[in-house]
Amino acid sequence: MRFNDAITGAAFTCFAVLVLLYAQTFPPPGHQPIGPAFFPSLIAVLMMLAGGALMVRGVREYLADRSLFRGEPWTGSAAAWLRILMVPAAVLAYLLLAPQIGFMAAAALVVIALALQFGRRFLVALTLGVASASVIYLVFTRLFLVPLPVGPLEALFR
Amino acid sequence: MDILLSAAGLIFEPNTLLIIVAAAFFGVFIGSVPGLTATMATALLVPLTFVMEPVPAIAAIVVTATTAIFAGDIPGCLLRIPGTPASAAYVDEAYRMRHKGEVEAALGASLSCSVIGGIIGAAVLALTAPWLAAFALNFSSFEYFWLSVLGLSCAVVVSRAPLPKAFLSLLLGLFLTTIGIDLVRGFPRFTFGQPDLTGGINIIPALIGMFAISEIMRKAAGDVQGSALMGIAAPRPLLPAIWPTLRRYRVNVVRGGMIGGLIGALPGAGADIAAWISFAVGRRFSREPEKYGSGHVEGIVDGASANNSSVAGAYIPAMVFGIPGDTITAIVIGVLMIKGLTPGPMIFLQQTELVYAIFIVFFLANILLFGVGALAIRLSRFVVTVPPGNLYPVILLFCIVGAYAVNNSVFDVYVMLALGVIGFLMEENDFPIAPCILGLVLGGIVEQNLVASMIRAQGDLLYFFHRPIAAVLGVLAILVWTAPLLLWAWRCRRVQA
Amino acid sequence: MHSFWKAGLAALAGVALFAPAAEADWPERPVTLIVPWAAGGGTDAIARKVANLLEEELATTVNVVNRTGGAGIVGHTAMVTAEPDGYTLGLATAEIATYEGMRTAEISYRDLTPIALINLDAAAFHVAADSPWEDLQSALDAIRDQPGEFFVSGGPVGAGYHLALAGLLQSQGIDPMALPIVPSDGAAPGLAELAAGNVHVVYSSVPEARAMRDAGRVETLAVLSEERLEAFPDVPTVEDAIGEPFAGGSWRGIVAPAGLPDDVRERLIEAMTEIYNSDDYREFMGTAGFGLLWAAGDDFGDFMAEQHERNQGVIQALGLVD
Repeated sequence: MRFNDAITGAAFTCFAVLVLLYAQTFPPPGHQPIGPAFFPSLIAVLMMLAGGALMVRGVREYLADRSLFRGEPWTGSAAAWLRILMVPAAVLAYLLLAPQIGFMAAAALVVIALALQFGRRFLVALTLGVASASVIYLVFTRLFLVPLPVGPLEALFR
Repeated sequence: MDILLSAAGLIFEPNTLLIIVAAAFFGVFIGSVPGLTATMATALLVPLTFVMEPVPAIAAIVVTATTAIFAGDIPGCLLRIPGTPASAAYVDEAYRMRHKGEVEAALGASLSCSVIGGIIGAAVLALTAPWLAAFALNFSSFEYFWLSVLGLSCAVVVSRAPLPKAFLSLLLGLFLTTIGIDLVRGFPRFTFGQPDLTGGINIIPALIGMFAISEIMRKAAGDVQGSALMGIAAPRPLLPAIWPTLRRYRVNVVRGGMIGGLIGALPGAGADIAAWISFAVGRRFSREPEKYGSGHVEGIVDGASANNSSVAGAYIPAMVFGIPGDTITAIVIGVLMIKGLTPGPMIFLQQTELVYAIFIVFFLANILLFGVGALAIRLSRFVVTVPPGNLYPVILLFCIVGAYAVNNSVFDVYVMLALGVIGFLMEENDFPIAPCILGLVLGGIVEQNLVASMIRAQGDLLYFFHRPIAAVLGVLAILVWTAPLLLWAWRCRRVQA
Repeated sequence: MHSFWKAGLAALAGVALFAPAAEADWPERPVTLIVPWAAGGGTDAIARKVANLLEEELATTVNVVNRTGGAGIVGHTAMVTAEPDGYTLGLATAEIATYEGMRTAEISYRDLTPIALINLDAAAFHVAADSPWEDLQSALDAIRDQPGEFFVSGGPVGAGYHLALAGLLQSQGIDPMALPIVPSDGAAPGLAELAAGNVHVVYSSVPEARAMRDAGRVETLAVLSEERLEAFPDVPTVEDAIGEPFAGGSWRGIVAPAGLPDDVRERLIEAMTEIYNSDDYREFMGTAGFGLLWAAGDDFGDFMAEQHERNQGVIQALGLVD
């Protein structure tokens, strides 16, 4: 999956313009030669230059091959897209669930769902989820003293 | 000699030796889990060191850091997820070698170079500590500014991607470091009123996101049936894979070790930067620079020898002047102070045995690393022959917990997620990730020293060259960017003539 | 099996009744102590010592959690926003009295229940060993006569030590802006700048400069405290140096979120009094070179209010806000 360089270059340039504009709302330097806006503005200007250079490359590329998007074998497959989106979705699901149902339940659910999505059989996925959630919970809370979110299941290990 | 013997006596006692061996396994485990860094392993040790005597406490930290920095290469080679940031410089070389079926050659080179580099670093530490620290202590913000600009330039020049893409990736990393409280006026930049953002983007979750989450997403896109080690050759003996590499690239090993020791001694520059610079230098002086990036073992030799060496180098300013050379020694200084020992020149006079004991531990740690490391390489095969359908969900869980555990912050997990998606999109569009990570690591240092220098110079740019070392470093940094242009102009003239 | 289910049900009920109202049996689960600075630093060292001693006093686990970043804002915000149930405490530092004045965050001492002030590290006036200034008076005179000629470093703008030094200048009728600050990320880089001859004054505490003092690279002209420090009897106080007293620096104290139940607060003050007066704590603070200062409950609250007011004034004079 690759967009023409002109598109990514334009995206970076737009982002740089936004950063530059927003940085101008920062307080002035006061009595110092440079203020909070200096470094971000410098980055934004350099980003605009590099983005511009990339856009030039992109236009040359387009004149050569007349295409704005180059796919991979999987870009046409809805199942592949679903599998990709499952990864960030699983992290989000963990973040939303863990404070409610505790670390172990949320972690096990995420691992099971992802393993199923990756084509594992249900029993394998279940074992994997329960085992990894319990081991990681014990190692991190007992050995490293990391306070993971506590729910009803965690009470069993107290 | 008496001091050396009594220092050895402090180490070669059953309790301390037991702690050292346990620390070696702990370091290998933490280092080989993606997202858990050597710094984190050290931080996790701190509560345990409270109950230890000073020598075993420092020994545990030294051994853990040494083994963790090496172990970071293992998932880097097998899964393209560097276990610690220090392995990021040459992760592509190692991963491409794995695809050529040269796992033993890659990891064997990494292990043996780590051991030799670590021993060189320990020698540098033991022999030159006072002189080097005195030299680095004369560095002001001007020297650090140019030095960090040099480091950033290396990242872009080293990259095989088109220059604008590598540069944009670097700039994105630099931009991310400007999020949070600014240094000049304490103004919260780009935080949109979010208290979590005032703390800025934490490098560890960012690293996990950009390397691990994006990699899992990429894996999810492709064929997920079968083994993660698909196309990998059967295990081969380790030693025969090591000798030819070591013989051929002995200059690289020694040079990497020296660079690592020196870079490590510079406050603020740790194992990751040492690996980057050694990699860049190695490529510059290589007889086959075109092979870099295609799975070339020379790059691993450069990086692996430097990052382990810098672990020892970082102790130079830490022990001599109490200024940490990296995040690990910052923690070591804290541990020593809790024990009522202030690192500094007086410690060399009053606690000579302790100082020598630390030197001995460094040599011991690296010798021990060879055995423990070889065992870890063998065992890692079992770990990664697990089908990806089993492996990636568990790695994702590790990433979540790892990102959270750095700072016990749920926000960091969101950072990991966001940068994971950005990293995926960037890689898909041929933007290299590494410059972005280096920008994230060095951005704060660059800006802090730029700000300090600008204030000190009252806006006069010529002032950036008024100190001799700063002037040399500044000219070097400018040359890195202009040399290709000058070369090009020179070639054009020759063609015309 | 029976007790297994009972335990599970009890846990479920515990989650359901997660109300902070009555805390008669406090503490019945682990207590978290938030540290707004990184592991390995001075604040972290004190927090871990206090956590150890608290575990004995309260007979429960006390977990130290480092929430770093944003000049301490992240950690202090975590203390303010936690449930006031006694299970989340914090080791607040001097910076909590600067955020409102600096307009960096909307949190202040008013959002906290003060438990006990346990430490004060006085700022100090360090110069390089080859500095022409022999004593504090000549340094102050030079700064007054040549404003903008000399530079100071040692920490971020507006942090506790910085405001203390600016306060000293003000008390001597010197415009604090006559000594511009080169911001640094803590004492160590500031001291490196001093040794490299790039700045002329560093305001960190004396223990932080100990190694550089021992190495003969740095001299301390005065410490900003009422009395000489036990660990550094050779360093004069401001009063010894120029005849007028001035004290200031960075302090640390145990706090809880605002709205902590009174019985829990009493228990904590009681426990902290025991800890502060224990030989163990005194010996730890003495060897590490940390200063001692005590105020409990409302006295600590008054202390924070006073610091807050003073900082507001200095921040205005430094031109840090418009």
